Amino acid sequence: MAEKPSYEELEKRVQELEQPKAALCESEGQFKSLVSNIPGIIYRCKFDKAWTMLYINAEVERISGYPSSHFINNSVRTYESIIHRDDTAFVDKSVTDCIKTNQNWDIQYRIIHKDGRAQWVHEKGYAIVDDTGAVQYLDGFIIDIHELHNVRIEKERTAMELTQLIDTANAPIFGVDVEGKINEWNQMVARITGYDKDEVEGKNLVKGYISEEYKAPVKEVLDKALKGEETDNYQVPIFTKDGRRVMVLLNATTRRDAEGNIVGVVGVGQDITDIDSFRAEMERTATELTQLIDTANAPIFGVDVEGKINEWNQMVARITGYDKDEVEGKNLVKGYISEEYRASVTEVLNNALKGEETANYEVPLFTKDGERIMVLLNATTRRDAQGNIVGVVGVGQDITELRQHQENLERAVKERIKELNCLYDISNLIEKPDSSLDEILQGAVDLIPPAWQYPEVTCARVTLRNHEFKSKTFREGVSKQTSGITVRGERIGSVEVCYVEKMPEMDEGPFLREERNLINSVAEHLRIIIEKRWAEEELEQALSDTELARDKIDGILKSVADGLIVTDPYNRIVLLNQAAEDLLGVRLTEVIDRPIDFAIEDKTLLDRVKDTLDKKATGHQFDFEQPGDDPKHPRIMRARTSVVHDREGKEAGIVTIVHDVTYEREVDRMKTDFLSIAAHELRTPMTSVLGYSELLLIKDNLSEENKNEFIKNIHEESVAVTKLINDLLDISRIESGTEPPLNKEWCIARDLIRKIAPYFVESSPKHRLEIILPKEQHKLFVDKDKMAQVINNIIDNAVKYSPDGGVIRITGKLIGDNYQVSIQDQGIGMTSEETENMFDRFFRTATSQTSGIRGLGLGMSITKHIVELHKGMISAESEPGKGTTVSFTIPVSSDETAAYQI
Amino acid sequence: MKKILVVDDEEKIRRLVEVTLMSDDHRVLEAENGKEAIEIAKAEKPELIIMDIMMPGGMDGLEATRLLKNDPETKDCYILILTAMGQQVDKEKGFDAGADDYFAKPFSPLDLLKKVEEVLG
Repeated sequence: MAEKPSYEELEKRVQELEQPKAALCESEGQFKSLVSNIPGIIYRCKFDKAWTMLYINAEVERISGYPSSHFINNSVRTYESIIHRDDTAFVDKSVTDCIKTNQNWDIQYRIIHKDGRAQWVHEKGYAIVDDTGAVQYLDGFIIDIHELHNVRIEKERTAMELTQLIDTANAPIFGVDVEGKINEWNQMVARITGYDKDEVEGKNLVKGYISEEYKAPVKEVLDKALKGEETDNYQVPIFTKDGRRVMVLLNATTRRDAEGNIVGVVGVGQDITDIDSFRAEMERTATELTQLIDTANAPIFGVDVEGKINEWNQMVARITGYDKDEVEGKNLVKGYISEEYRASVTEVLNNALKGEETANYEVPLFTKDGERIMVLLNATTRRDAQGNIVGVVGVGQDITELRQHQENLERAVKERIKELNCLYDISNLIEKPDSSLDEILQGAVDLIPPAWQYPEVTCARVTLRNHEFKSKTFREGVSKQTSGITVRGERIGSVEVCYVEKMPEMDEGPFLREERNLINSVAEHLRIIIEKRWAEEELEQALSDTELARDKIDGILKSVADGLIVTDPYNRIVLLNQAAEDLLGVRLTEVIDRPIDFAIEDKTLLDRVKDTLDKKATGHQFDFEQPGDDPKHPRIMRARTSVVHDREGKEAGIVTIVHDVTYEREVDRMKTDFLSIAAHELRTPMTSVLGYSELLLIKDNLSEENKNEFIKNIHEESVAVTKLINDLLDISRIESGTEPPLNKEWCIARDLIRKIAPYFVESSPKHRLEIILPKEQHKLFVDKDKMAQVINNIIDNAVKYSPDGGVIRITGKLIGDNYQVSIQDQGIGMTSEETENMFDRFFRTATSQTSGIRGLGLGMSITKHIVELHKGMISAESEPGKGTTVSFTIPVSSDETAAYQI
Repeated sequence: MKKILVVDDEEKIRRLVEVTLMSDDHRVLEAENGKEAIEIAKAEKPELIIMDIMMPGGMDGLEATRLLKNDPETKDCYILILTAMGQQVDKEKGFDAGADDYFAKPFSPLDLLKKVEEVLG
């Protein structure tokens, strides 16, 4: 800082300048130039509350960034406003205190520059008092100490960091003063020596911590350093607290103060104790390594550059059988490698000699007794201390056992795979859809031996209740393993595996754990298969039973001629049988589960059916007519309901049976008709019998002629009545199966017929009887009376149904083995329908019923029955208006067969 | 002399009736079937016709009765049905056809005689 006037002088000058105006400008100019050259703020302010600035030079702008005009008269801002907020109170207090005590203030504080940074300033100032001692102005000089301040802080920081650095430095650092007393002792030294800084500070380094023999030279080093001669890498032994000697490699540096005066020595050291021990360790390791190589569990050998063996550890010796002595100096490849590997091993060794190392190369070594051993080799280049290649070291591994192990493992895996395949194949057996359980079991048995370790001596057997399934070579063996098959809690069989020869005993016996597991697994597989098959069979059986039952029921239902309609309680159709389908003209499939309304078209019938169903009771019935094939003759149906109950007794539905009662009705009608006809037919002759006999009784004046006539009439009608009664009896006997047996005897056909015919010639004068019989005497074996009845009945009918008379032709002839009798009339004839039914019981033609032709409609029925009893046949041909021909046959018997028949 | 017509296909029955009714007061005429009966009735105008029902020849007694009773010439003829069809229905059928009375076979000749004398007065 340049020489500057005192403040008083300045004050004086200013006052002087203010006074004489003339000199003012010059003075002010001088002053201004003066103060403007001052590198610092000069100011004067009033000692009022606001410290109103009276004057402040331009330097304020350099330091604060604001022009001086801002501060003059506090026009824009006060100087106080730019003081750092943290320092305002301090500045205010310092100044105020100094004024009070009438002292100068000398303070450092920060102002805030226009650009926002804090600026350290140093202010020196004083108060100006008037004559009375009252403060008038404050004058001050403020300089920018910003850079200075920063340097100082940096220095402090560096010092602190350095201390810290020294203290925490990885190297041991200590210092001594000029007297040799310790004044620095960092943590590292403390750690190495065991002495804390506190313990050593101020003590003589050499005296206290250097061993006797080193005291002199150390002192010399220190002394040299104190003279400015520094020493590098001097080994200083230092005593540790526990008496150890620690070697420290020391750089002794002269320590000077800021002025360059030597104030001590700083030693920056390096603990080399560890290096020593490392060396020792190295030596030890080397020994151990040699030992290790020799005793290593791995075979290690070495060859020199010529391929001659120079290393041969115990392991190699053990493996190969050659001692080190035997092999040392011999060529490895030539002596101990088999022919086919020599080239490749040579190459590996040569590569290693060139520095190319080979890892995990399999080398076959010959043992002394000629065995070949596989060694997995790592060929490593061997160098001397100078790095020259001197040979190859091979570190190997005897993998013979490994190989053995591997092979065992592979074999075991193969066995397991065989077992797994066995189970897999057994599982596959059941997948074949058509195979029977027997086939599966036999297949499984056949699969077992190949899965065994020794298939040639293994056999298997599966027993299932009384069945046995054996592998081809099965016989009871020397050792056997069995696993039971238990289905649904019952042991139903077993799986057995036998060895037919004694097998080497393993640790676990003849059957290994895996093999026992396999047997158990096979048994389990078979159990599952059997269980499944049984379940399937049962299901099939059940299904087939069900189907059978359904088929049976279907068959029954179908064969039932009656219509069967099954409805549920809501009158929906559950079942219709064939007859019902035909009856209603619908198919079950069209109406199943639908209301009955869909099945019955006829409204009246539907209403009646629903009405009946709605009663939900058994035994309700009604009859209805159903149009039949013949529109004139509707079928008469009777519907009858039965309620069906389920097992719980709940109403399950209603079965309506529709029965065709047309025939029954017809029979009923025929029976009614028959009764009325029978009564009529009996009354007619009885009228004559009764009438004539009464006349005979009551009339006195009857002539003989009349009497005879009446008696004859009575007789004839009695015969007619008798015949009627006989017919009725015959029918009754036929119906009840109580006919007397035929009274068969031999007769000649033509004689039989001729005997019967004349009766008619006599009784029916309107008719002419023609009898045409062959001359041969055909023998018949018949009941003559019954035969007569047959012929009588037919002729009787012929007469009856040809009321206008005509020819009645009786023809006999032999047709094959049968004698045929035909009786032809020229009567009213019959329709084809009537012809068809004429042999039915109670049948009478439509005409006969109204025309007064007498008869019960039994004659032809009885006739047919008699013919058939004689193993004959009867038939009729007729045409309305032209007449009818009735023919019957009777088998003709030769004498022999006849005799036999008797 | 009153005329009585006996219609029956059975010759023995006609004869029985004839013998039963034979007297100086009546003449008994005979017919074998319905057609013949109508012809004779129209020609002879008998006071009484004794009519069987079941007869051959296309027309039975009921039909013949109906025709006779519907014919003004013969409607006054007293028709007595004499039949072996003795059920109530048959009787009703006879009266429906217009018959005046009904007599069942077999019959007592004496009863028939009494009946005929009653009818003919």
